[in-house]
Amino acid sequence: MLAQQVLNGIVVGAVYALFSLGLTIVFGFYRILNLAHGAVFMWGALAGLFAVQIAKTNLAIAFVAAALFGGLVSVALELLVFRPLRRRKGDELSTIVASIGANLILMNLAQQVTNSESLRFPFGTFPVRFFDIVGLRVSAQNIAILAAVTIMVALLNLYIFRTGLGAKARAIAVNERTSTLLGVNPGPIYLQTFFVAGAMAGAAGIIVGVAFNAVSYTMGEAVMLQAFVVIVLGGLGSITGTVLASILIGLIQTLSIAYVSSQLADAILFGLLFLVLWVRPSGLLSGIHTEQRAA
Amino acid sequence: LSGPAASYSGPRLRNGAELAVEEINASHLLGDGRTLKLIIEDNAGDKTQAIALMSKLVVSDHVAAIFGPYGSTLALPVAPVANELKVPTLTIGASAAIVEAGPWSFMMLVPADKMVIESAKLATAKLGIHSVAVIYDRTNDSSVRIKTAFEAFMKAGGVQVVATESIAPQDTNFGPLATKLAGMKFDALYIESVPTIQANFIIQVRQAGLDPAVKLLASPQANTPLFVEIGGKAVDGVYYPTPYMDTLATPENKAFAEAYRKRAKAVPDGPAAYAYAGMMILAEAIKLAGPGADRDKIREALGHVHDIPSVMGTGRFSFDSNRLPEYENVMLQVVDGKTVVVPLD
Repeated sequence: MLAQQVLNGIVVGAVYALFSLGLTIVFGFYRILNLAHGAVFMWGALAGLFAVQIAKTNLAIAFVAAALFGGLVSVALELLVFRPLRRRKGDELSTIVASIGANLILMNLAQQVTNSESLRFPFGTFPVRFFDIVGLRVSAQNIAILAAVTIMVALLNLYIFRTGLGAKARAIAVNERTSTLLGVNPGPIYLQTFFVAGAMAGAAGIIVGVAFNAVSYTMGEAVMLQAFVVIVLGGLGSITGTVLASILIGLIQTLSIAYVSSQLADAILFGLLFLVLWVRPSGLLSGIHTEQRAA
Repeated sequence: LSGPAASYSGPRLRNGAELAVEEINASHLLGDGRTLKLIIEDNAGDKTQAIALMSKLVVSDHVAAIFGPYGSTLALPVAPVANELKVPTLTIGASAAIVEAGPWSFMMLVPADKMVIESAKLATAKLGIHSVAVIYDRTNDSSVRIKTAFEAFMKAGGVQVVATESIAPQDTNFGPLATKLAGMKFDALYIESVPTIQANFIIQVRQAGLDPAVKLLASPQANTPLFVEIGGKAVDGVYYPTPYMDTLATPENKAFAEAYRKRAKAVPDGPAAYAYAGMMILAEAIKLAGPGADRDKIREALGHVHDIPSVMGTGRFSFDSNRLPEYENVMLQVVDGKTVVVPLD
């Protein structure tokens, strides 16, 4: 039973990681706290759902559609909300408030499209199959989720640390002015980062939608709340920290429900967040800024 | 009509209410020249909007009575407002705290302690269970009351409550809870939440490997076709009591079910029937109060509604002296995606 719950926790944590990574790289690179990231996640799930329901595609294509659409919504946010604000020298607070507005607009649109209903993928969209692995009840779905998240996180790492584009993004993260003087054009780099962040959120959206049989316009809110804990705990902007914190939070949540009480699970999680902030105000691991300077 | 509960309430309530008002006016139930005018407003599942609409209906529209809102989460904050505005209000919720707000509040559904009687009877007398786990919605007062009432009945009947766990309506990942329950030993699982969550929870607890011999009992909120639609094969075998059954063989219900099918192109379910029956009850009170009656007279007459034919329960409806309804729920079981009546005696 403990091993089973640990597996549950890791799977949920992996999905949190996929979602939170986008939030944290955008913040780590550009100091933009995008509170509409939850809406990107939700629109990804909706796009995947519509691909299956209306376009009758299979799940693999729907997954790509969800990631693509999430990426596009995220890019649209950069173009329509964040870039104009940067041009006008908006500060961090105005950026946050603008993203809250964008979040509400995106949620309202989804509310119209879904008629406020909680929708779900048709039965058997993902085959319900279980494997008995050393006494563990592992579903094919769990395996697929873990594989998909691992691949995406590995690709993200490659993108940031092994490609020229990633290097440019990191340069902007350290100092945008200097990088511009050295010939880096920040515009396309911003767009790329936002696309990658949105694509991961969209992928997380369809995973949650399929795994838990529910897609609704409010689904981004709960996951945003978890993501805050993740990025604060993991250290804003740290990729390794985010992944570790996500898994940790998935585990804490799951084990609190399993061994303490479903009533107290959130209280335990947020209580722990307070404790960490007391001891280490910058989170468990340092953020991308410090990583850059150390490198 | 919009908001989180819309998929299983709003449009169904509207169809039921419109149908009732058309019938009331066509049959001159209130006497010659008197007709009912129905004004429908959308609170979007939001407390503030529900309260604002109450005032608007009373102050600008001068309504005689109000039916709604749906669900205790909205009905509770609205109840004191109804009493302040002195407007007879028939709400759809199961928290007895609604009528405690004052003499202008009436309830369409039996309160929590009565709502679980049939489930308790089924669990102890019919299924002979010895242990039960209980799941409820911690954000809804009705749900908390239903859980408490059910547990009290279980304990009184010598059934051990081995686990009480709560969920919230925005939850979708029930994996940890489902795994926990699948690893425990008990004879029955009782689930009280909104129908979409009930169905989703049952799917996930089955996938987590719950012993197939465990009896599943759902609260009356499961009484909508949506429950089976979402739950599919997973909800087969689930028992739930219902305040409304579309196959009830009374002349009132046969006429209602047929007219509703024609109008809404759907099988009438709980919310549709509550609205239809509610309109009929309000019309009965307005008729009893006589021509030119003010809101106070209508309120008094509503309290005197006694043993009238209704589509609710087993066919008769009354208010008791506490403005709580009296009717009997019918126990149903899902068998091969259809519901069948389970006799309790």
